Amino acid sequence: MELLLNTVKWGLVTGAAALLLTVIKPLLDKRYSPRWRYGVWLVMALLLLLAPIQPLLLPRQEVIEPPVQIRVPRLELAVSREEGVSLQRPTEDNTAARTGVRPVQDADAPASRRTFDMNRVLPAMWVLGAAAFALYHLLGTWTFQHRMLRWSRPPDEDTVQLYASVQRDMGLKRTPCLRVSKWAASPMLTGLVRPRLVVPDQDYSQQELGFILRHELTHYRRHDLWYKLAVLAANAVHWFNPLVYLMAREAAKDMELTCDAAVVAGADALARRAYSETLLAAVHRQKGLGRSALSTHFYGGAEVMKERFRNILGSQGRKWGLAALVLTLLLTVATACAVGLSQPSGPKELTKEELEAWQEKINAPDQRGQYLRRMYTDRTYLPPQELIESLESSEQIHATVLSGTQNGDTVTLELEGSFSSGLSRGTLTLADGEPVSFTNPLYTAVEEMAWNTIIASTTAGQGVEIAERCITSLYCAESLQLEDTFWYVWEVYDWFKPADMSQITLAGGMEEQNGWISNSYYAPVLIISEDGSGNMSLEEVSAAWQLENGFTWEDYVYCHTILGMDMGAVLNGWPEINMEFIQSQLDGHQAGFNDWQDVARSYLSQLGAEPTEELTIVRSAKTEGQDYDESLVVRTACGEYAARILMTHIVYPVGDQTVSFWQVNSVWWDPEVPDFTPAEEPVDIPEKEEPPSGESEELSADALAAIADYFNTGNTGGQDSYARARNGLLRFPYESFDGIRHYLEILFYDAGETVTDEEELAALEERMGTPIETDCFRLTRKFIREFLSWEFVEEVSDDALRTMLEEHLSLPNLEEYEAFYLIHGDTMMTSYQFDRGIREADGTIKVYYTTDLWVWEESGEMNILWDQPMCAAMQLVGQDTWGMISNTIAE
Amino acid sequence: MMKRLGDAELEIMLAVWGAGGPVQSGYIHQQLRGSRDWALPAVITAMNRLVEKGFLSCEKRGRSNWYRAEVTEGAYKAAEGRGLIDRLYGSSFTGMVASLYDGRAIGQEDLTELREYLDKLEGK
Repeated sequence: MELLLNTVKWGLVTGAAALLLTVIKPLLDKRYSPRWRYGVWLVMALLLLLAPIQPLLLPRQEVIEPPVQIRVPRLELAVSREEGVSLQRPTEDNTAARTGVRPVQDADAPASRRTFDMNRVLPAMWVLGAAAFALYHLLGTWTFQHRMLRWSRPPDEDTVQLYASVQRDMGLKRTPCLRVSKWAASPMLTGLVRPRLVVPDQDYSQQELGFILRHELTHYRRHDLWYKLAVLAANAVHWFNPLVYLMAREAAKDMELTCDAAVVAGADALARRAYSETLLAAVHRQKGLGRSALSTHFYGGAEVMKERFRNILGSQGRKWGLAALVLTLLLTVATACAVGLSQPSGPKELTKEELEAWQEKINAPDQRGQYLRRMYTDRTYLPPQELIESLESSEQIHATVLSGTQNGDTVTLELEGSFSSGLSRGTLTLADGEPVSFTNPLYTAVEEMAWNTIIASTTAGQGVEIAERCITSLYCAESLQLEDTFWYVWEVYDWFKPADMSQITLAGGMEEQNGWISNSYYAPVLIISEDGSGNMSLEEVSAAWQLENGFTWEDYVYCHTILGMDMGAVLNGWPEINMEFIQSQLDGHQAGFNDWQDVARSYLSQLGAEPTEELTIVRSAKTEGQDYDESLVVRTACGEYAARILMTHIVYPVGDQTVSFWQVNSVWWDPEVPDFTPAEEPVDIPEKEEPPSGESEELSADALAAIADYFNTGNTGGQDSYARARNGLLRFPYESFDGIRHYLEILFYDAGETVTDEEELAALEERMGTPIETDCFRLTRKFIREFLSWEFVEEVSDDALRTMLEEHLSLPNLEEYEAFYLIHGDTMMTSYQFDRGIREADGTIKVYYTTDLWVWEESGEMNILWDQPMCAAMQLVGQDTWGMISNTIAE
Repeated sequence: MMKRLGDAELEIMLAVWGAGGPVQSGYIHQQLRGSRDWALPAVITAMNRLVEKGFLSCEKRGRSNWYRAEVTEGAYKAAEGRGLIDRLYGSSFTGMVASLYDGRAIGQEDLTELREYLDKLEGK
């Protein structure tokens, strides 16, 4: 393009000079002969020819800026079906680097738009035009010559003789081959390499022929064909410039004029007249040939001839005009040098030194983070200064400058580093040295989504009016790829300025800075997907507190955003995590929870569902740093209900041990949550009724079984200490509450919690004075008091209780733990079966059964009476609790 | 449509036209001797081809063949000038030729004008 601009410049200047010369020709002709112009045209043609490569020939011009500068804008030709053809400035290059993902496409760009850079198109057109011009003339000349010659024959003897004499006369050593052609309309000299002088097949007189030959040989002697070649070449290079065509025509005219002058140089008036007549006669002859006589006046053919006549016959003694020639040429060259035709330079790559300088500048410790602190698409996205200042951290962010370009005042740098947004690549744009943008396509897309999201949320709750809002930072908490889609989880730190600060009372999790408030607990989290073509869409707006549920973002995106499952919280699943469960895990009792299939099936069965399909894993993901180390999404079906189960493998530290087990977090039913048969109804305890008529009533088998359950529950391996203690209520005889005082150890024999605390055990051993070899169970005072006061019908006073504990409970106890201890390795748990029972008129229940009975003797010893028939009397206390009245040997 | 003559064929035709009447092959052979070194049989072959093309007709007189032009020089010349390339380049292309004058540009009226002008200049 520079070449073309240079060419155009020289073409215009030289063309203008040519035009000027042509215009003032009448004036000049009075004083100067055409010879000097003949020289000027040649030099101009050479200037024009060399115009494209002029900078190489005049290197000094690069240092000095031409005083007159004409700026040519860079343009693009845009062609599109919708918009048609338009000429416009080129759109800016998007040189932003990536975070390793494909760029965001502009969905609005018309698909059928094509742009052509004029800086490429125009030079190409120029070269093509020049080539076409040259080709046209080459072909034309060759065809013309060929035609001319094939219709020609050698001249006759007389002509040959005349030719030879003219040659001698002119002192020429060699001459072109002479031919007589029927095709020629006029005598001519043709052919650069093998010149031929062609004369039409006419009857010329000797005199006429003599002049003709002389004229053409003068052309030959002056190498006019080379002159013509120079002018033609210049015209080819400047084919688009009409002024150069003008110059070429003037040059051709002056060539003939000077040729005429050379032919008649030194000749007398008579000879000159004869020559003129020859010319006119030649024209006449051409008419006779009926050649293509196009309209005349337009081409001024007659005018030219008149000028030639004037020139031949006109006054001699005009000056040669060397000074004029030199002056004209100097003026032309000077003007061309004084004018500069240039384009604003496009973007240029920065050198290594410049990049290093920038790297130093943006990483300087004292620049207060103005370059890299946060990313932003443009300055309107930056939070207000008072917030920036109060949130400033001293943490230094370091970046490496990978590459950079400069376009006028704008510098664009590609940076790499660990930035606050969580991204590692960014483009920093500076205008006049000031940063105006630091972003990359992913960040820009997210920034816009984040703004739209926070603007969409109306008030800050409770009708608090918001005066202003801003986003202080965006952070990419997670990025993952699932099949062909990329997913991003972005935390949005947004702040708002309330219209009236006095209305606000800050709740927990809220922060206030300089009149701005942020609610980081409810801060939005954007979950964004990006498809294969780079189209991004906001899939879900979650919140920061979601993380408190214990799941990773990855699991959240998959299960909640994509599958739409309600996930619950990690430690809040099934089975329920409580001290009993943890304890049993530590004991190793519940090994069945280590296989996910077992856990899933148990879960379903306790719901009342039976899987009718294999349980298959849909997705499994391992993780670290959470309360779980693996999550599963399992698929199955129960009849016509499809289920998707979310499970996690919990790893839970207890002291210096760790328990791990599978837990079901949520189930997603399709098409809807099924209605399973409800779990077994609670124990059907007959209600306390008004005795119908004072009669006693036999109890049904169901009622008896229900009552038996009450005492037997603890026997089924349940963890409830109460249940186990209830089992002990029937191991010994008593007629009232007071009667149990000898039997407290037997009553509580299987109750209590296992003691695991090392310190406690040590203290106990010390207290006992002996090492403890078997299991040790703890009964808290509280537990004993509660049990004793609830399980008996009699009202028990505090004193009585105290007496019971202090005087009759002879178990080792530790005051600091407020507990009693049982040390044994076996169990007394029994399964009771009641044979019959009656309900008395006053509502008292009596049940009859057989069991082995502990009996206290007066001597203080305990005996067992085997298979004793017993009667236990109780009353319903509350809805499903029995209060014991007595347990006696039946008659 | 008239066929186009090759360079050699044109030379033969020019010689025939130049003769002004029927010619024998030997005559043509002699005419061509300066520019082309053809043996007589070659000339006869070429002339027979021209007969086929319709440019010549052949008449047997006694023992020799006499050839006569069937197409006039003017007609052929005009026809040759009507081709596209010829119209573009052929007649008066002045690109790389130095002619006595610009052959295209002068018409009938101008001639009279020029005559008068020259007379004036010559002081007549």
